Amino acid sequence: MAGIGFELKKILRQESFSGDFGAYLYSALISSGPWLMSIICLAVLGVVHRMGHDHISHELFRSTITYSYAFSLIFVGILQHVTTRYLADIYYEKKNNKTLSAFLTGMLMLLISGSMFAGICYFFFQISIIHKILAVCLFLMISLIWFCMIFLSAIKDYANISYAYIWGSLFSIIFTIITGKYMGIEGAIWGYLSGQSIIFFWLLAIALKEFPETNLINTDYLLYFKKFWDLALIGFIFNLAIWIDKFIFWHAMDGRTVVPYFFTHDLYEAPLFFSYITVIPSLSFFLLKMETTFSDHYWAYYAKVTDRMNYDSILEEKNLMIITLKESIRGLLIIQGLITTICLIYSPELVKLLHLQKIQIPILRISIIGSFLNILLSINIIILFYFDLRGSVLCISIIFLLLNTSFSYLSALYRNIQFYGYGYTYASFISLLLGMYLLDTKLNDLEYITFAKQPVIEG
Amino acid sequence: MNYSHKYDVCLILEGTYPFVSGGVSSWVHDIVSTLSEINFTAVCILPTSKDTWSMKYDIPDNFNDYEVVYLHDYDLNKTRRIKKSKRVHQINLLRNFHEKLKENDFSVFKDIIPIFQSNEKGLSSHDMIYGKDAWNLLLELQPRHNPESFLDYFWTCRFTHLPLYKILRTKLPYAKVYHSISTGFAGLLGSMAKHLYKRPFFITEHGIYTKERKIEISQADWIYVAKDNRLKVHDKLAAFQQLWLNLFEKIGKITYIEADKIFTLYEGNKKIEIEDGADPHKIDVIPNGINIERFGGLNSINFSEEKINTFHVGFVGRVVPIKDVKTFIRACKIVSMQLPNVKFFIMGPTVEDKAYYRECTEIVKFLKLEDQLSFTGKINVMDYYPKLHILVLTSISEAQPLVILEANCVGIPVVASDVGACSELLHGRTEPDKELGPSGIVTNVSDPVGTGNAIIKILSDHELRYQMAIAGQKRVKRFYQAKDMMQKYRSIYMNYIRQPDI
Repeated sequence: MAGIGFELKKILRQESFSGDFGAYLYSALISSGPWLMSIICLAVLGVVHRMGHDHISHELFRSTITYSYAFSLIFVGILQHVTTRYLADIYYEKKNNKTLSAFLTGMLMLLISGSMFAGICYFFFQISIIHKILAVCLFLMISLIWFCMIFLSAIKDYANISYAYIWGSLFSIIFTIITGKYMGIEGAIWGYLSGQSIIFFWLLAIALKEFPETNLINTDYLLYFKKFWDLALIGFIFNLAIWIDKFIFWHAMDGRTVVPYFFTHDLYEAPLFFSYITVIPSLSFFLLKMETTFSDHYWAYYAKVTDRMNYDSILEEKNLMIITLKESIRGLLIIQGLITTICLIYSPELVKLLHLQKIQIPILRISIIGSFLNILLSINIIILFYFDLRGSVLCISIIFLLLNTSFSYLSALYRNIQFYGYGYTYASFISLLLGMYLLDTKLNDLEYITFAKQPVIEG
Repeated sequence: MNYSHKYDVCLILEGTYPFVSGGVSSWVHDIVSTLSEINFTAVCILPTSKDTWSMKYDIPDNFNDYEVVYLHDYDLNKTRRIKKSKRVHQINLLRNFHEKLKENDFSVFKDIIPIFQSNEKGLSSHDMIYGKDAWNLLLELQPRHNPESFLDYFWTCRFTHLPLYKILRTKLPYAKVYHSISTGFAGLLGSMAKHLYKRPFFITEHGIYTKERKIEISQADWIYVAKDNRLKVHDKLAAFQQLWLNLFEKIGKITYIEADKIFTLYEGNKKIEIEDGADPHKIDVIPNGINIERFGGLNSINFSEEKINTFHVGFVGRVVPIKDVKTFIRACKIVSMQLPNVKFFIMGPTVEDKAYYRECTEIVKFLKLEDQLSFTGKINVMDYYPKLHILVLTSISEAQPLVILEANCVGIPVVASDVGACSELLHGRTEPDKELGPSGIVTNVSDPVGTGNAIIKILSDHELRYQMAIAGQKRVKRFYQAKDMMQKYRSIYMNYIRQPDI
């Protein structure tokens, strides 16, 4: 978290349009790179596929990719916050030589447990053995890309990272079309996989270049999973909660099995995925604000505490920090509100553009609102993490999971298309209210939390 | 109240008997062993269980079931939340207590005892350290627009209060009398016992606890002192040192106010106690005494009729800075320049502070005193007393040095610096005591010339030396016998034991 801010600030201080634009683009990539690219790829391929392939192969292809992203997100979620925390801690302690060993240890963990998990799951799928192997590989590849991004968010080489994504995605599309044409479904997946592996190896090269060399296994890092088990749990639960409504719709009455066990829902899935794209500006705007103006005040507050300042000046700095935070959120509401409103108005045109059915317009509309609320929830959680309020985040994550499960189940139960998407949206809304309430009370009590929650070390 | 009267006296001991050896511990051991008809128990306050504490004494049969309280082993386990009304009530009590303390009103101490001692659930130590109510109270009690570092204010508050919570939550054994051997935490515990069990409580103060803490605090480098303050020379303590001192001053005052009686060793201490807020009518001086039978057979050379060829001057004490051996050595030079036939002995272990000992030997060499002055190392003083004409003490700080009584008892006049009880030991404390005449000469601290001249005066005046020897022997026999001191404490204990509940 700490590293990226300095780089971005430099870009912003160029104070030119291109500098600004580059910074926003970069933070968009950092925050949602793989996801963004996959939706773009799927969209492009969706348009392209009409030129060949039978319907079932295309659906199998799309399901394989969707599964890879869904489950890799949940899977890497377990490592996500623990790793971020570990990196922040070694950055603070200036133990940069431990970065690479943590990186390698994490990848090793991912590869071993991921291949076992995916291998066992895909074993029962009624697809060809080659498809199974490729699906496992794709799952692992995407997990590794997610994992790389956790480490690379602290790295200055943003142009290089952007190129990795652009070229990788471009090759994914080209390879998929070419190999898919001659070798069917397996060829298409192989093509996509090779494009993604370009991204991964590119990122890997950047990482190996940046981090100083060390030994392979980092036991400190492994111990962090025991110490910060709540962070691992949060990552798992929150990512599961984001996906649980899709899982429920897959199994709803009008959900469909492509081949066992690839499920899909013809009406629900696509609008939800595309609505995520509409919130990417929010994420990048916020990330940038967070890492620049807000973090200045954030560090100033803690500096005043540790530099033995008096109580009045600590309070003053805290209030400044809260004002900045409120300004950032206000700016975000304006920008994202504008984008969301435009998208709501032009939903019919969007549906046409994306080759969706007219009947999906209401679903797209409500899911655009839902995504807006959901991104606010994610941001809320990021802020809570800044103040190490893990208990609150865990609480919100669990509530969000429970609400999204029960509401989505209810909306799917009625088989009334009018309710689709409302479960996800209301779950996000109520969780957001809870999150804002917790954030508000905790920020009010910030100095109390800063001081009185410090443990007394005995003896 | 219906308690089983198993113990007569509960001693409250901080950092001493039976785990730490020293003057106070020996004193406690002697009292307990001598008053064998009284049943003792004790609460022993020690810093932490992380250090190992072994018994330094063979405990007498009448000293039973002592409890150990480790001051810095905090019990901060999370507890169930208590009802809001109760929380508010207890916080109000604590607020009132602190506000009254600021106005030097200590009567509110009894109001806060139930918070810590009641069997019903109240604020736990966890609540007081981590809780929101306690945090708010801490902010309220902070001076308005406090310019000092808040980080240090907060942690100083924590660290000053943690041991207090530990003490106030201690479950005390029931006894008929509570006797603390210092103020400080032991005094606080005794004050609490008085209110809990309605039984008499008194203290015996050997050294002045608050004064000793003040010296420690002013030298402590772990207390934050703002940079520009460190460079200035001033006798006022920095803000956080003051906060620490406050703690000890306030609990000292509570102890003085709650104690039914205050005993100390000599008049000088009594004066300081009065300055620190003790009621003069409560204070009595009971000096320590020596067992004169031990010295019964010994008689100083001063009583001998033989012609004196060489004089022997002794210095008894460890070779450490606080004893100011260097002043004694310089005084020896002054003496030897006038009286050539004097031998000097420094009797005491030289291994405790080797650097200081080396400096002393260098001064001896520099002053060319090698032939006259010798370091004997650790010896049995009984072998040397009969040979000595005079004993010298140049300490910077003393309480009531028994070595003066021993020397006087044998018939040796003493030249001592004016610290602790030295002056009243040599000139007499009470009127009948003073009438006996001086048994030595008192000099200024770190005054080699004065010390030297005093030695010369006594050595060169045979009649004076004889008078002083006689006065000393009489004084010790009449006023400084250990058995008399024991008798006094026996009757004090017996009085209080018989006293009905308050």
